[in-house]
Amino acid sequence: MINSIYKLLEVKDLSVQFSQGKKNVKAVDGVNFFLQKGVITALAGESGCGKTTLAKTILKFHKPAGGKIYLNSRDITLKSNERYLRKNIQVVFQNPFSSLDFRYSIFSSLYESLSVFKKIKKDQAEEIIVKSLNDVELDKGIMLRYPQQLSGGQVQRVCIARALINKPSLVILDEPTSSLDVTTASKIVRLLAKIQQDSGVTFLFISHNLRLLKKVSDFCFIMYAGKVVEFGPKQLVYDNPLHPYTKLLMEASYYRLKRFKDSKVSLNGCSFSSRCTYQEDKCSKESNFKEVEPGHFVSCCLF
Amino acid sequence: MILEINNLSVAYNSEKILVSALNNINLYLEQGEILSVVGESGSGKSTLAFSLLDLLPQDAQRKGEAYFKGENIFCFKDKEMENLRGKRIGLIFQEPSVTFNPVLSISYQFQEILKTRMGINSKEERIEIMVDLFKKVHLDGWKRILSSYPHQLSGGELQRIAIAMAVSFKPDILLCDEPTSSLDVTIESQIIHLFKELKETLGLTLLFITHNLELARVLSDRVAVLHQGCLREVNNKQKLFDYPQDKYTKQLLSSFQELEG
Repeated sequence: MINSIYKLLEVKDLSVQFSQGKKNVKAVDGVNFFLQKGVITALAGESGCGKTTLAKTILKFHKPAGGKIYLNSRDITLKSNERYLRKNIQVVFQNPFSSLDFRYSIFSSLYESLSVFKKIKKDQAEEIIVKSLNDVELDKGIMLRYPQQLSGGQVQRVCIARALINKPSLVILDEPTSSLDVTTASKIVRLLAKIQQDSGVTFLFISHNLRLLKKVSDFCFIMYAGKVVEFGPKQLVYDNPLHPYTKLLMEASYYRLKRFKDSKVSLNGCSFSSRCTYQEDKCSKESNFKEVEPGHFVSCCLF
Repeated sequence: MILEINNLSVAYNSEKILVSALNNINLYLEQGEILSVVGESGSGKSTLAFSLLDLLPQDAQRKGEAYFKGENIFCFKDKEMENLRGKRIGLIFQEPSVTFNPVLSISYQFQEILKTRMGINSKEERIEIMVDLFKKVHLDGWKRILSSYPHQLSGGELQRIAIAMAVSFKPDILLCDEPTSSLDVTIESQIIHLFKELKETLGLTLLFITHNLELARVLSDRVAVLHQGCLREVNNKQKLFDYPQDKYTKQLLSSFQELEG
């Protein structure tokens, strides 16, 4: 089943390191995964597990310590493919206000991202910009306003419009609704699902909220301490979570988690073993991915 | 009834125009219960908490009455208010990292309030109290925490310290203004259970402000829905979620179901 999928983005053995004093901290540690074209893939995990670092590395905001990233089989870690990467991968960040320049009107912000790849006059651009604003259900009058005059939901829509204006093949959504309240968030999520169906763009949806991801995603990755611990189609991961960490995250999302062991990441073997309730002797060994059900992979010694 | 709010209205001055933030709010709190106030951004949730403790900007206008144990706290003088604020009515803010002073250690900040506000002069006694409180909020390694500065601790740890500080005065009411919104789900879930536990062991009365309906459902006894400064519905948790009466409450519940259901 996996082989018949068209892999839009493929990440192989990706590692990212940050130096902290004299020590090196591995923020992303040998991650392998791929994104299927034309679906919404979810990436979940707690704060500090490396979700955002992974996203930023795909966008080449961080330099990888090792590994390769392929977009449509082209290696985008190479300098020569930089322009290809910028045109085809776009991002929407968590805080909409810090992602737009407050000295630029909405029109100028959108015009700039449009004119980077295409030589286009302002009056011609207006038509495209009005259409892209309509696509995110905004009125064209908003063009002349500045970010600080708009609400959080409106600015986030502008960010989505900006990400989609060059028709990229992949859009990374890094917690796009975390700073919005429920009513606005639900409208944004509905909008994103509609855009995905209409245009067939691929989304990588990053969040720590498993309940939200259950609603929107088709495919699901769970990360812990810089490693992917479980992945598979949404139905399988949600109905039958295998890794103890996935189970814990599910519990927390439904507010059933009372306490768990202190968050020390174990350095030898399975990184989750010190917090794991099912810990056994064999957990001190490195675990590899196993296919437990068709298409459903887990990295845990218990399987 | 520990707190009774009658006809509370608050208006802000915005460029010489009065903008109404709260409109005729009538609300009460029973001893030992958890009341959640839910609503979208800008509905006046935080204004409600701040107005009770007289923390509004100077040009804001406040009308109405609030009776705390029979006394109208809106008539309090500055001195009396100081005694009430933090001591008898505690407050926990949304962002744990700005609750603390970044250039002072946790030990200094915690000891300062114990010394100046509770008058505990012996250092041994203060440390004993702090260690005991850290145990209550499930913080391990008190030595490390006391010697740390705010930026060296995680959001969850800081919020637990903020809670420990707030309950150190044994307040009658604890106002919580979105205390878990900036934390991730695993920490959030633990903090919620901590509140439930503290309510049992310390007999806390909580006014819990949140935009997360699921949180309100898990935590509270009663829920109040606020929309554009008006109270739309106050009811028992079960009744409100199963049979919402108000049109806006129904909308809020359906948008939540769509998002996280």
